[in-house]
Amino acid sequence: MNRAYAIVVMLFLMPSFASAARLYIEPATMTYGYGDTFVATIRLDNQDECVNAVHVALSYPTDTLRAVDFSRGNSILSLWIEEPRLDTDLGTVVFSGGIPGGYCGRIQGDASLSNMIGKVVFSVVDAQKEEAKITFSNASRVYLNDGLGTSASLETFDADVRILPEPVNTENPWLEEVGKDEIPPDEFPIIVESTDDVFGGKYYVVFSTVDKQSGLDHFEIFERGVWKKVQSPHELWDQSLRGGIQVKAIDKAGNERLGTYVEGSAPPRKAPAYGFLSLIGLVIVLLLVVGLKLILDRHRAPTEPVLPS
Amino acid sequence: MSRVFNRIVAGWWQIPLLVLLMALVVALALFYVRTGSVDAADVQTSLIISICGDGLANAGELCDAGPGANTGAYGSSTAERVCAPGCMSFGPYCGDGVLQVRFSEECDDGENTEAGICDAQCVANDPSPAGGGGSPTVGSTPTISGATPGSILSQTETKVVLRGKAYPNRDVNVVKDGQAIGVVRADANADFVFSSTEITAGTATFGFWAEDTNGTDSITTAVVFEVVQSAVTTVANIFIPPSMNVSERQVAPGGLLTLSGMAVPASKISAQLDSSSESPLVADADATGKWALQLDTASISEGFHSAKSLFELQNGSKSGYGRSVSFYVGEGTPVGGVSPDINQDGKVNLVDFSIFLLSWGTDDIRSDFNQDGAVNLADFSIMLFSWTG
Repeated sequence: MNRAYAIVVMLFLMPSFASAARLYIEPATMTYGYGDTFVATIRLDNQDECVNAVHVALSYPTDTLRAVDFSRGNSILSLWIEEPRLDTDLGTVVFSGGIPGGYCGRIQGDASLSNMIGKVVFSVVDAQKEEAKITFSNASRVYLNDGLGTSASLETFDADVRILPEPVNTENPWLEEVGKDEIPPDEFPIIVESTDDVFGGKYYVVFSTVDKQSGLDHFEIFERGVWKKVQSPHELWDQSLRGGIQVKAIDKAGNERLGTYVEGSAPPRKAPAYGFLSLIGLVIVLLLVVGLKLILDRHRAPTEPVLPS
Repeated sequence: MSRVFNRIVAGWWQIPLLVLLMALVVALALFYVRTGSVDAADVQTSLIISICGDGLANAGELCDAGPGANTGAYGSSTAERVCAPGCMSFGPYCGDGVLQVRFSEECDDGENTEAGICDAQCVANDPSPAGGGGSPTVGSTPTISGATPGSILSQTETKVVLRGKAYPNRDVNVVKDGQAIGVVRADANADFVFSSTEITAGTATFGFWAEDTNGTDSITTAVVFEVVQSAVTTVANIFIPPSMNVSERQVAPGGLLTLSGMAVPASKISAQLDSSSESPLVADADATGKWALQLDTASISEGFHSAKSLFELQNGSKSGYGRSVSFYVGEGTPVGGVSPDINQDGKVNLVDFSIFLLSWGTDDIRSDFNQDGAVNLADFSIMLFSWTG
């Protein structure tokens, strides 16, 4: 009996192994019914180290739930290396992003947790099962802000959804949030660059911004008379840059923000000196020389017939 | 050659034909220069010509509605979907399986049938037999943190003030959400303050870095917090850790190394070697913020080592660790790493990130900073650490 007590006491005294990071879903337990739409928030806690990059891979049962949208609004990730991908056949949500300079935890006095990574909007598509789990797969990762790319030890916490036959909500919270959003994405510069071995040295545009409300949806560029979807970086169709450059950011509610482009801010182009243009120039010069010679020949001997050799 | 030409084309045809040939060549040249995408290396053996806007879905096109009709506008059903500019995809439509709230969709299950929880017009089917409809009633408040329920107030009063310590009389670079937004100068006591009203309420990430008098950059110190609507959110005690240089990258065993840099004047510098838990080396920063300490490598094993430092003020508050420097104890030449400043413009910012994006998932050595054979999240993490904006 004493031995058992000793073991139990020892277990309590053993130090708990703190992990360097935690990924969790809020709320951890939910109750929704068939037809409901709800929002699951993904949050990050760093325990004692600063972290700067996250890869999240979520799984959910497709017979009960369906991920219909993803909001980056108010995410602490300002750079997205893998845009959120919602595969409704496999039942996965995958994305990767980072925080330049790192995230070191909640600052004392902060009005909110300020640790949100993203929000997944789910719909309950069937009520045959009574429970659905939203889980982090083993592919999820967090990296330390140590300049070495060290993977942090990670603990993940799944969410449980109890399923009812009837809906719980009278309204759709995601539609409400989007409907309230009248603020466009944050201002951003349109950067024109030319780099060796990137798009063959031709001019390309670089842009990025965030939307703190419903979240950024996509970017569009005005080229060849139309607005079309675009991702950064993008090789410019008009390499002369004379027509100006127009890129806009659009959030989930449709609010738009035009980026700022400063005329003349582009560096000198690094496209190679040889190339199609020079080749054409050479051909033109050759033809001119030949033509000139023919004209001069005719002037020198206008009446003399040219005999075959 | 002129004889051959004369035989083929006799008489007065020669000059106009020549002019025509030259004009054709110039026209071809202009055509290719305008499209801007033909390079000597891009020419392929199986050329396909497709014209987007002629109403024919040529090879390589997904759709083509005709001249001026490929607008990619929203379509109310799969049958009504509109071809997007470029003829390679359709614009958004009800039935594409993607929820587009900005086009008044409430749901989109990828089909245009009335069955299921989503009807043919992308309006949610009311599953309860009582039936809905009419103007929305006051329902449950969404439990989404960060959103301020209620009205959107004017932005003019939202302000953020950030205070901290850097290096005396040096510029502090301010980065917001990854973009450089300003520079402020620290005073003789190394105090700096940055404020801005050009900010939207919500979670913000601010980064700060400074360059010391030697040209060495500090680490980027980041703070993540919520900017409160119509209020002044102040963050204080943002301490930029000491800058640090090592006198030699490589030293023979037993040789002396000098670690030096800048910090807050009259602060106490603690330098930690590797990850050891031994007591750190200490030095005091002088009145101009400069500090230096000597490291005797006699007691250090051969190989690569790193050192990092922080400063402590008289009131006991400390900074975090700054950027670590590495050095090699022993003979032989140490190998350098790959810098995240891919375009070598002295900054690690969006341009480098964009170039990095292009080599994501490949083994491009330019972006493989940790040289493990793959461009992946570990390399991204290294870039984020060195971010300058």
